[in-house]
Amino acid sequence: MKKVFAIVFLLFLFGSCLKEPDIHSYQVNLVVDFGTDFPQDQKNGAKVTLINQLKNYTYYAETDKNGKIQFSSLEPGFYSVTISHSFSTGNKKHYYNGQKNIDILDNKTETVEAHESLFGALIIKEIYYSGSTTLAGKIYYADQYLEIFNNTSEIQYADGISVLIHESSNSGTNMWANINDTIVAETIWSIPGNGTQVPVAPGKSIIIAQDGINHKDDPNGNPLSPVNLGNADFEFYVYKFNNKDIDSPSVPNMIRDYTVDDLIEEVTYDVRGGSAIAIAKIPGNTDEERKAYIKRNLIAKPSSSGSETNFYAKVANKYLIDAVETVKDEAHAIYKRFTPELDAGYTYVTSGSRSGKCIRRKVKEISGGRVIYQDTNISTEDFLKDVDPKPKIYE
Amino acid sequence: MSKLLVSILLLVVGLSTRAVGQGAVKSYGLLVFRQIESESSWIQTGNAAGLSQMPELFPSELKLQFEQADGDFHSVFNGQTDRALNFSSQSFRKINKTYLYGSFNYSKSSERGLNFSNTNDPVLNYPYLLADTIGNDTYEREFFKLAGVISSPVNSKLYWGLSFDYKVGVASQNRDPRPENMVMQTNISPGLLFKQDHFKFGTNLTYGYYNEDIDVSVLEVGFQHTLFQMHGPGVFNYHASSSFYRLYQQHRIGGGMQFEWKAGKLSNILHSEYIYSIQTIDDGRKGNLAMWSAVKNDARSDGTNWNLTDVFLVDNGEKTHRIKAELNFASRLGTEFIQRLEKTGETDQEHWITYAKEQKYYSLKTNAELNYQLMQKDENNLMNSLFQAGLSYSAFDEKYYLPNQELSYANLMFESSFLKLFALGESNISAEMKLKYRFNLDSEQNLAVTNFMVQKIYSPEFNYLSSDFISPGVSIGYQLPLKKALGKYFVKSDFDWYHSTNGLNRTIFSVSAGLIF
Repeated sequence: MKKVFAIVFLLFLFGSCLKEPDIHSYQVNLVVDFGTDFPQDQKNGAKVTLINQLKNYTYYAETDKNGKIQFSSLEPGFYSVTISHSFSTGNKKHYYNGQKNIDILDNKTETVEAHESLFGALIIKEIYYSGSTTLAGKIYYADQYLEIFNNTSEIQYADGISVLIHESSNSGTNMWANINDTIVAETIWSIPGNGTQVPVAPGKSIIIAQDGINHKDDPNGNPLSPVNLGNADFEFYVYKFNNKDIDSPSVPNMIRDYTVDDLIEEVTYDVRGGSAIAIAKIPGNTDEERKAYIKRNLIAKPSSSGSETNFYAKVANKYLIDAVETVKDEAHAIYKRFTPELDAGYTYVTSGSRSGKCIRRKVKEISGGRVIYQDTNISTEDFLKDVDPKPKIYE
Repeated sequence: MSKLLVSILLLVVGLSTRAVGQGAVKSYGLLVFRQIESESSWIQTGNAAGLSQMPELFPSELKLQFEQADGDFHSVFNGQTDRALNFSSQSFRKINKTYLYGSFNYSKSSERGLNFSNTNDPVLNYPYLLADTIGNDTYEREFFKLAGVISSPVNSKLYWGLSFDYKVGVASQNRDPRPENMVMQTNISPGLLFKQDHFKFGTNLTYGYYNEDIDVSVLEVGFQHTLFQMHGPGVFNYHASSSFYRLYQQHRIGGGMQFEWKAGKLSNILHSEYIYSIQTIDDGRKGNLAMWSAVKNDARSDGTNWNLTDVFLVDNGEKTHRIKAELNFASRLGTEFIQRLEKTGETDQEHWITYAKEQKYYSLKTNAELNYQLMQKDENNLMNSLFQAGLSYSAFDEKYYLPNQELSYANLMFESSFLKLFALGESNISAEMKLKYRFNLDSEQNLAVTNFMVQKIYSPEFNYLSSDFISPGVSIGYQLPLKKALGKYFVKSDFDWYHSTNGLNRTIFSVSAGLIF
């Protein structure tokens, strides 16, 4: 009897607790395939971003001289790999990007192709969307603007470059997320020109204003606005009989390629930061060809129907030049719309709407007097928050 | 719900009237249930057959209680304030040779200032919790619980017993995102007890089932809210939707053994219980804006709970000394499902495809306790004072693997109380002084990830669980004999105050009134 008690007691004692987890961790060897013409000595230092898609955390690393990288101790799951690389040969800057989804359920070796792209030549330097407050205490947002900067040492041409605002407003999940390699825009306006009419000098920029006026002293402006946009390069103008939108005679207008609502009275970014903004080079040698492309790629919103059906424009990621995920606040970062290969992060003005503050890229370096802005494809790291708007000032 | 309440009230009153009519032999006071709890070690073992070993005390009670907890010193998963109104009845009876116990409890409560919780019982469901980040919520709860125990001799040496309890209720929040938690919990446990000379040997089996069905909805048209499905310290998934469903199901199975030796004034009982639990957590979404509607397996939690207790009793008639030593181990093993929503089959319908099941979480909670108790009784063998002092050691270690997160702490707690009943003419006053003091022996956080969930939930919760605190308390009761019945009317009030070394406080106040007969 005593033996039985002793055995039972020992069984309880040693069998009472569960064993610690039998965990699995895997090693992944990534090889970046830059193509056959890629110089061997430039394979070192490509930025590799590995994102766990289930849990949304990220690893960062750089390739070795053979374009290889090894990640170890990875938990099983579904991951996205993003490659971002740049180097110079002579006076020319080369930009390479790549992206691939991989399932890590075992040790494995994967090859990720990276292709040279325009990405990084023209970049979004600054977005001022928060607006300001009038003397009467009302909100003023006609002074919003977007600044596109030439981050290279060569002249870039902005003719036909389009400004896109993503359809999803950062209030909920991006319902278009299941359409691969594509964003869905509610607004597309493009810079006029035949391809050589809008040069952007190295280290210089162009301003696309909502209204191209000196907002500080114009009778239609706001004395408390932080900006003078009288020297803007382009402005959004929507003709309406009520003249709600100001048409500055000295500032050329952008071309209205597509807006979901024909009845809009002006083009605005969400003052709270909900607008995800991209610039793109949409296919088409002329304005008509570009508009035709957009018309061929319209998609209906799933929740609309019949006469209420709204159509939005699909634009393939490969046509995007730069994209900045601006969100309302940290809590809304979960409603991120741009995929990691477009922008692996997010940013916003923490002081909120009416603050007169903006987001601006950090200066990476100054080369021969030319400012080069940081462009790692992760806006969380690339952008300064809550800075004073400084259009066409490079610092 | 109200019809059910009225029916049960009528039933309870009916049973009570009959019991009084049969004529109780003793006039019980408001300490009698504490006396039964302290004196009858067999009732504490969980073996229903042990009810037949209880002292010859068969009181009944009807009670209405209001309780309020308020203050900053609380778990992250609890609200700033919690107000509850409870109606309860309980009764011990002996009919011929059969011992009976029954209880009923109705509770309606309102928990305010609640953040980060959409589950009714976060402790039970930890670490697989569901939360939104919209703060300052209010949880309204309405619960019923019925419990019963029966024990009877088979022959002069063998007793059988059966215990059963059933709890059901609803918890809900009336602000977007608004979860409605339907909770059902039940346990059943048969047991046997064998007597031979100075020895008693008992054994029992137990089975329990817990079900919490959470339906989260968003009423504001066009709005979606984000719900975080937590998997461990700082590790979570999230989904934004206008609706969300989660189902917790837990099965518990186990058993216990008891062994008692008794000779004259001395007795010793050693008992142990082992429970194995399996909990599954399933998620689903539907609605116009949802991207998926199929049920997803989120996680599975396996748990064990092993308890070993020894109670040594010296009963001198008017004085009873009790020394109790207890050891408890509770471990949890968490498994996650790696699934992806994919279109399958000819109809291209989307289903969650399981690619792997990974063990990711482990926790071990250890508790060791030593307690001394001195009970003094009057000439009617009813308790009139109770002194208790105890020291407990508790340690908790939880680990999440990849990313590696580990939290651990160990606390030591001293508890003491003294309860005394004073005669005041025909009435009585009971007074109790209580003191708790907890201090932390060791705490450590090794976190590979320190995201906002760690900052907002896990670190504050860790600080709450591992901080030092002191808690004095006082309890005053007044009882008055009823003229036409053999019972007593009582009013009782409890006040406990917690003060932590990081400057946070919490007060718990309750007032109750009722009848004991």
